[in-house]
Amino acid sequence: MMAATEKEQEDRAIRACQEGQAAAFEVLVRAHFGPAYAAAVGFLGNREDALDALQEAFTKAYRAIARFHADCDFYPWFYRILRNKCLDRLRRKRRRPRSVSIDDVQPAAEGPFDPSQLAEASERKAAVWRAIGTLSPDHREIILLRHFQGLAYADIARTLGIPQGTVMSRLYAARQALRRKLEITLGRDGTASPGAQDQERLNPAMGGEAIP
Amino acid sequence: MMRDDMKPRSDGPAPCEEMKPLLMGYLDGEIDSGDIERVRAHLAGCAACRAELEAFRRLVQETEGMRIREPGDDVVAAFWRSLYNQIERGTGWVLVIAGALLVLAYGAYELVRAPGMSVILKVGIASAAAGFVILLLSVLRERLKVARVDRYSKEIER
Repeated sequence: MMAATEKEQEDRAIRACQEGQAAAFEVLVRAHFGPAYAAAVGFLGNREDALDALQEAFTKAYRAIARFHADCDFYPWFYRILRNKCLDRLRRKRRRPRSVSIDDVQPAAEGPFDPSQLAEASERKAAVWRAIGTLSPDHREIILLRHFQGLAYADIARTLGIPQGTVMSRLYAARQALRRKLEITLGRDGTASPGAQDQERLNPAMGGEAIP
Repeated sequence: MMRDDMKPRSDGPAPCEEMKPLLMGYLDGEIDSGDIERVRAHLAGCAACRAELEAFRRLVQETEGMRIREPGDDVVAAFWRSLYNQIERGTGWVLVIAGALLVLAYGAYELVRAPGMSVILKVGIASAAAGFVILLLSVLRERLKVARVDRYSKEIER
């Protein structure tokens, strides 16, 4: 939830942009770059495409900001622009997004220093991430919003412009799909199946990408 | 608080299909106390949903702590510089094109009306103006094409 002062700062920046002061747009870019970048990487699977899509989306948002209503929140409005840009890119490429390199995924907090656990954790996180990369855009999107960005249902609903009931049913379908993908990759007992992993590494359609 | 259309009907035990979305709200702590009671009552008598809830709980734990690495401040700063340049240049090109079209239209009007000017001179001026427009459009088209395919140029600015 955005603090009142941040909202006021954003509102001032939006008004300044609507009066043609492009420099004021920096406040909005910096305030939303983090979640927007995470969303773009989640859609497109790699940093370069994500930054390109962000540039297109922010440019479009600036050019359309005259039509932005002051009583709305900026991020859900911008997110829809970004989402369309990402989906356009996916359609243009007509391929599944590449898996993000494990270098792009990091633990939110440092765990206990245990190299063997770390190795397992890295491998499992890579497997989870690859599985997320093979989900449909709708499923991948809601998994990322909830699991990676930690948004509450109300915020997801506002961001996607859908009722909270739909958030729950879509999240159910997405998690169900993710579980099935992970069962294929890791097996029902949760241990990595080397054969399945090798197959993924070699099969770009499954989001396979060599992991260093 | 969930929408009424998502709530299971109160008459009789809720079928599993109706409970599934609610399981997500229960797992994530996103439903109210009334719905929590309904889910608990259903789980007490449904081993399949209990097992499914456990599997989802493991999945949530699996992704806990995973975050997408955010670029550093230097990347954000470079991104903003590049974006600002693009926005400014876009505005500049719009003004240049609008101004050029206005001047050309006015020039063409004056040219047609100008008394005593030879036809050859008029044709010459019109040709030069048309050439200028063609060159301007050509540069614009090339810039657009390069911007779409040349990632390296963007990397320099980042």
